[in-house]
Amino acid sequence: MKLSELSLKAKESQPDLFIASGSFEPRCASIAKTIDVTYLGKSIFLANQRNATELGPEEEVAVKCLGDECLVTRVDLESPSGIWSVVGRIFREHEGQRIWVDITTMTRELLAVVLCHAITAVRQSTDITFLYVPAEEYNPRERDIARKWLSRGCRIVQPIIGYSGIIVPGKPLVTVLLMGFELERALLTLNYLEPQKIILCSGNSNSSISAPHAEANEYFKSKLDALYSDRCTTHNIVLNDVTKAWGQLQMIVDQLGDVNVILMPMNTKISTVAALLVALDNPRIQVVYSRPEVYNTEDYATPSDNVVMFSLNDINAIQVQQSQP
Amino acid sequence: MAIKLEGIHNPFRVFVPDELEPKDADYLWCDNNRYERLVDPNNTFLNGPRGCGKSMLFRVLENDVQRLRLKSLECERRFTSIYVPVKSYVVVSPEFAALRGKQSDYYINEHILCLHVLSALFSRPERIFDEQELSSEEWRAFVDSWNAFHKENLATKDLVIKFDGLSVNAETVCRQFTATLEKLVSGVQHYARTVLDEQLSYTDSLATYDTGILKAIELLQHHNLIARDHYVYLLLDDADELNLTQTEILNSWIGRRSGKLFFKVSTQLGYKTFRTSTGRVIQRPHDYEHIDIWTTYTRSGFEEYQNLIADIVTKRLILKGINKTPQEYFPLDPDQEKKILDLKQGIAAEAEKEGMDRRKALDHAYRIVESEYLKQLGGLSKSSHTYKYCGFDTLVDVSSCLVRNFLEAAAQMYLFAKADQGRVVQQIPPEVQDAVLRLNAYKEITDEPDEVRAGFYYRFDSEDPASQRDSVALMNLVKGLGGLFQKMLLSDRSERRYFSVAFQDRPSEYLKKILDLGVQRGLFQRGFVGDKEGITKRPLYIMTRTLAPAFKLIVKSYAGHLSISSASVEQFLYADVSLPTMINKLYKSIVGAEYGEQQGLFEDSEEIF
Repeated sequence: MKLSELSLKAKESQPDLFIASGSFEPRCASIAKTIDVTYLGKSIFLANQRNATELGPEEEVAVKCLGDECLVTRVDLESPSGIWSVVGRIFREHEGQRIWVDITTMTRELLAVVLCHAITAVRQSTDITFLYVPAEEYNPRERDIARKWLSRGCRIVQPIIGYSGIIVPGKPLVTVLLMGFELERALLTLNYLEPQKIILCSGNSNSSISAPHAEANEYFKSKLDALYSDRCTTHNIVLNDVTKAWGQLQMIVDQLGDVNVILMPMNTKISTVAALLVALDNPRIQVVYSRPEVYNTEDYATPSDNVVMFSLNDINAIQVQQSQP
Repeated sequence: MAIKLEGIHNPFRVFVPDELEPKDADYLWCDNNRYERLVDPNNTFLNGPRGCGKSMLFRVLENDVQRLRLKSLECERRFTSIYVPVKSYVVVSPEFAALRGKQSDYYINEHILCLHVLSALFSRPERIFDEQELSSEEWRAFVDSWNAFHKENLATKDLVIKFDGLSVNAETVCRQFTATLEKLVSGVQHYARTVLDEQLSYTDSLATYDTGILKAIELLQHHNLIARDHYVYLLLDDADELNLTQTEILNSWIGRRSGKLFFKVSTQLGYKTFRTSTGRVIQRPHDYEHIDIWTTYTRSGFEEYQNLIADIVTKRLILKGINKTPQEYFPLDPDQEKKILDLKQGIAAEAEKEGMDRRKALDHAYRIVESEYLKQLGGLSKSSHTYKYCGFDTLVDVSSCLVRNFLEAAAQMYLFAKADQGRVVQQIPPEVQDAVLRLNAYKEITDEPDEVRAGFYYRFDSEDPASQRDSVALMNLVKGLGGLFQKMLLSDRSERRYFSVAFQDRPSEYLKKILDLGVQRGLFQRGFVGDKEGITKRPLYIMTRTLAPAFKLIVKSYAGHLSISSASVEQFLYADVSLPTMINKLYKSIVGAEYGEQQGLFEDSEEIF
């Protein structure tokens, strides 16, 4: 769907609450700049507490566009318990309401916590829709695929609250990695986890957000595959459709047998949601988040003019249906 | 999914020790000196950076490997070990760390730590119990005793193991035990998450050290499932990943000194505290012993480490049917060696001509020959990059006493050489050795993102907002000292090889913090240097020799240390583009001091590790 069509959807849906999150990326303002805010009840803008007390330039734009009904809420993105508490409070305070969440520029840890609380809220009659603006291009100023970068280093690897799983000593460790463009971050995380087997998932030109993305994704996937050739198997998954990706990932983990499973979602937010849903359905699976040392804040991505929308209530209905015998 | 060594593609592959079959672990193990230091019945902290062999040592201590080892040595086993990995397990989930300051912090963290240890005890019985014990009827007696104890105990009633319709044998006991523990883990995870939102009371069972771990071991020994005269060792791997409360709880357990149960705790030099839950500090040698595994070899002589690597290489080459010595497999560059030998003879002859006796002249030539060779390459042809880092001894030197460093580099070399030589690589050419060592050195200090540096660039910081600044400061320090050592090497001084610094004064807290971070990340090694009177010792920081090719330093044998003021080094921490200027200035002040301007600024003496 085109971003320009979003206001019409908002008019039909009349959400009581719009949640967005701040970032150095222009995409954090993409929806705010386009949507007719008169159709939104109020907005909550999650800004990183660790940054300067002032908002960044893109964040300023987003908050300004969201108008007087926008409440800036600070969240410490380096404190897992802080993220958990802030997000939990927001969903509890808006139980039973219609909520739109822009997940575009959320860190994967924040997104995971949002989804965990959102699924609980959906089961208590809250109506929740996720929105995602794909990138037109990542690291656009760098033409050489091999030199494209989004982040560097890896400061910490840890399970996400709500997704610790049950990891039992003695069972082999299998990591399911949804590979994106962050090769170094992925390698450092694998280096830390030391899995016995790696299931490497990525998109192809048919199932990726766009053909150039698929090309770059394929390049990084082949690099990683070569480095772990003795323990790596590869799969293509659909990256632009939550339900399809969710089904594919579920099939992959179902075939793994009696092993410890750690999911590393590092591709699009759409596929991240799919991976998180798999973990929520399988409480033994752990999801880890690796926090990088530094992001490419100068040239991360350019926004596309598309938006992907999906209802968590629809997904929950599928979940309930699947869980029935 | 366990590894079988037969048919292995790359003989230098680094294994995760936990995945090794007992016979493979037994075959690969070469390091009896470290082993001997750990087997005594005492609490021991085994400290060392990633890759120095801690987990492999724990793997060898496990009973299934011990059975094989001691059978071949015809020795009696005196202990039973339980391997308790910490990394990635539920016990380190952030929700438990977030309980800090809340009422339930201590109880919940002790509970989850106990469940984790019990889970390690029962989840793979084949690694702990002997074969005859696995089929023994004693298991029924054990379960009856365990259940009788916990049924009576309101606080632990959920630890009762249920056997509805199942026959009781080793397999079902361990399976049911694990299932019960998993259920309890899920419950306590859920509690820890909800308590972050509001104060909830916890109503389920709580395992403690006494009612959980000690009771299980006591009953297993009582029913002869673990030999009654055995000491029991809990091998906690990567304990620095426990949260602060769990660390304090572990220290409290260590402080109990039960006489039968001992803790062998491995850390990557980041153990959070030695305080117990009551604030007491556990102390050595009273409560625990301490082995700094990285420096074991440098203390007892580098030759021992070299022999260890030679043994490892020989065993691994046999796996591929290659019957060569390590020196033959990783050869020197004959052309370069000849040039260096000729140069050395020339320098010695020159020195003799100037009146030096033969022995001194040779010693002088030995000390400076490679520096002069580098100068020739760099000075005349500007091609100092044509100096080749190669030969088994150089590879061992560059690995900086970390077995994993050696194996990872060798595995990369094998891969590169295989592309040229086909199925089995019979020798690693000097240029391949050189290329890999340079690549590994540069990726440590480069700012470029590159997949190849991943293996050496691991970061695991606490949630410190200043950690990014600290990383930059550490990198500046490495580049500053590396640059300074390079200038010294290319000087005309009589002593030119340096890899370490000792401070003439007490370094600031921040400089010490950055140096400690460097030690933790394997970029520096800490040692001591004695003063001239032999009364006191000062800390010495030795830069890892893995970086030598990046700074064009010579790694072979002897190197002196720079004794220097801490302020002159601290300036590097804050350097940006001015780093080369800083290095030059410091170098000039050092050289100036040699001519009497500032006597005592630096000195040469031997390193004491």
